[in-house]
Amino acid sequence: MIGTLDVSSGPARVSLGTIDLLLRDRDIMLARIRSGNVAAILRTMIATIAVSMAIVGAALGSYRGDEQILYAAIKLPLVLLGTAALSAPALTAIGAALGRRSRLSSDLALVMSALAFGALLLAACTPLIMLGRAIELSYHQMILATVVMFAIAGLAALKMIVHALSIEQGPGWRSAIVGLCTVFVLVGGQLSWALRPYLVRPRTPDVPFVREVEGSLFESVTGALQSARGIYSRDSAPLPGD
Amino acid sequence: MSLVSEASPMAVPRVPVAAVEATRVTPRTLALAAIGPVAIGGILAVKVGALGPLAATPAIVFGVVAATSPALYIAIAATGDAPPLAAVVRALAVALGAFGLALAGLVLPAAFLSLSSVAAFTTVVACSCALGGAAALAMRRLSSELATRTFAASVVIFVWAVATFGVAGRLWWNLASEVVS
Amino acid sequence: MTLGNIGIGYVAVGAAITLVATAIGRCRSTGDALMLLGMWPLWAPLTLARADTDHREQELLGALARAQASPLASVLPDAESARVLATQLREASVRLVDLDAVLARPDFDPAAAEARATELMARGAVAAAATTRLRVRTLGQLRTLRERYRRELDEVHELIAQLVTQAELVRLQPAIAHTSGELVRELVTRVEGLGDLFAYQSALESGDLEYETAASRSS
Repeated sequence: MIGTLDVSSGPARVSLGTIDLLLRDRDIMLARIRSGNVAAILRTMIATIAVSMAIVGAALGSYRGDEQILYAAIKLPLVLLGTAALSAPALTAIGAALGRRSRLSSDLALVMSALAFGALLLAACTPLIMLGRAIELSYHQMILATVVMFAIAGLAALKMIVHALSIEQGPGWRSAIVGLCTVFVLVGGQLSWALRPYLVRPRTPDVPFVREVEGSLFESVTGALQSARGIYSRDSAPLPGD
Repeated sequence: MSLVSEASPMAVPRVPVAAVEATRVTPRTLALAAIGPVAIGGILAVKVGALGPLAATPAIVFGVVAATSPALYIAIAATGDAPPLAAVVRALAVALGAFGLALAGLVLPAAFLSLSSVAAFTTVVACSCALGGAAALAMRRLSSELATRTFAASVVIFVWAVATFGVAGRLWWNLASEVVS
Repeated sequence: MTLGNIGIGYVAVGAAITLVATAIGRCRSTGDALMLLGMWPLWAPLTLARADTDHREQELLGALARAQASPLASVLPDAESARVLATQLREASVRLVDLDAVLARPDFDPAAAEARATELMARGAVAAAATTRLRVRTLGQLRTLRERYRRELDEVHELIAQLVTQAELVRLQPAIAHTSGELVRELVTRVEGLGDLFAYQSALESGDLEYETAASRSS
C-alpha cells in the first residue's frame, strides 16, 4: 500500500506503541494529535489513565491494607477521569472565546494525553509509596510524600499542555491554560474531596467507601477560615459515635 | 522614501488570515450565547427549587448589554477613534458569541460544583464565577475586536466594561440572594 | 443532592446521548457506546464532529471506499493514511473558505488600498504611501495564495473523480488494475502537497521573506 505519511507512520490504534510514544517522544505525539486520528488516541489515553491511577490507588490503599486497596483503586481513576471529563472542554471554550482557532477534538486529546503522562509518572512512583509503607513512614509523612509526587506529575502534565499551545501561538492561549487550570483545580478538588478517603491510617478500624457528605470543599475551607477567626456555627464539634 | 526597509521583517505586515476564524459570527455561537445564561439560571433554579432564575438570568445578561451598548458607541465615537457603526455592532455580536462559547465550557464544572455542594451559597458562588469569567473573556474579546488606537478610547471601553459588569453583577447578586433566602 | 444521585444523573445523560447517537448512526461500535456512556463530555463532541465532515473530505473518503471494493484495493493507502489525507484536505478547504472571507472584507480590497496609496502620494505623504503599497503587495500575496488553494483543490477534485471512474473500469477489466497505481500515487502526492501550502501560508503570516521568495521561485 502506498501513501503512508511521515507524521503518522504506523497506525495510531489503541496500542502500547502510543503509550510508549507518549513517554519517549511527546513532540511526535503532539504532531500525531494535530494530524488527525484523535479518537484512537483518546481511547488509549483514557484506558491508560484508568489503569495507571488504579495502580496508584491500590498502592496508596495498601498503606492501610485490606479493603482500602480496592476502594482507592476504584476511586482514584474516577477522580481523574471525572475531573478531566468536566474540565477539559474549558480549554477549547476559553481559547475560542478569545479568538483561538477551535479544535475541540485535538484539545481533548491533548489534555487527556497530558493527564495520561502524569498518571504514568505517578504509576512509576508506586515503588516509592510501597517503600514508605515498608519503612513505616508516619501518616503525615506519607501524606506529604504523596502530595509531592502528585505535584510533580501534575506539573509534568501541565508542561506538556503549555508546550503544545505555545508552539501554536494562537491568541489567548495563556488565558486558556490559566482557565483550564482554575477549572481543573476547582472541580478536581471538589471531586476528590467528595470521594475521600484514599490514604488511611493503618490503625483505622472501619473504612467507608466514601465519607458522609458534610459539605463541599469550598464550604469546608470557608468554615475553617471562619473558625480560625473565632466564628463558629455550632457549640462544639461532634464526638465519634454522636 | 520608505521609513521601513523592504528587507526588514516589518516590511510585510502580519497577515491575519487565521484571525478570520476568530471574527466570524455564526448561528452556533449566538445560540450558545442564548442558551448559556439559561443553563446557569437552570443550575440555580434546580438548587433552590424555583423557576425564576431560569428566565431572569438571560434577561439580566441581554437586558443590561442592550441597555448599555448605545452608550459605548456614543462614547468611543466621541473620542474620534470609533470604527463604523456596523463594525461596532459586529464586534458586540462577536463578543456575545465569545461569551456563549466560554460559558459552554464552564457550565458543566459549575453544575457539578453546585450540585455536589450542600449550601446554596456555594451554588451562587459557582454560578457567579462562571458568568463572571465568561463575561470577562467577552469584554476582552470586545476590546480586541474594536481595535481602538487611542488611550482615550481604551479608557472608555474599560469604564463601559466596569459599569456593565457592575450593573449586571449587582442585578444577578440581588436575584441570587432573593431566591436563596 | 448526593454524589450517588449526581453519578446516576451523569450516567443517565450519557445513556440518553448514546441512544441518540445510535439512532442517528454515529455510534459505530460497543467501544463508542461505552465511551459515550462513561465519558460523554469528551466523547460526544468527537462522535458528533465525525458527522460534520467537509464535502471534499467526504468525497475523498467515499472515493477511496468505493475503490476499496474493486481490484484497485491493493494500491490504495491504508485506512489510517486515508484519514490523515482526508483531514489534510478538510484543512485546506477550511483555509480556502477563510481566505475567501478575508478577501471579501472591504478593508482588504487591493484596489481601494492602491487608490489610497496614490492619494497619499499626491498629498506628499511618502512614508504612509509606501506602507500602503506594502499592504497592496500583501493583499496580492493573499490573492495568489487563495488561487493556489483553489487550483490545488480543483486538481484533487478531478483526480478523485478520475479515481472513481478508474475503479469502475478496473471492476470491468481487472487486468488493467496495475496501471492505476500512478493515479493513486498522484492523488496522494497532491493531497500531501497541501502541506507545503500550509507552510507557505504560515511563512506569509509570520512575515518570513526568505521563505516567501524561495516559495515563489519554486511555484
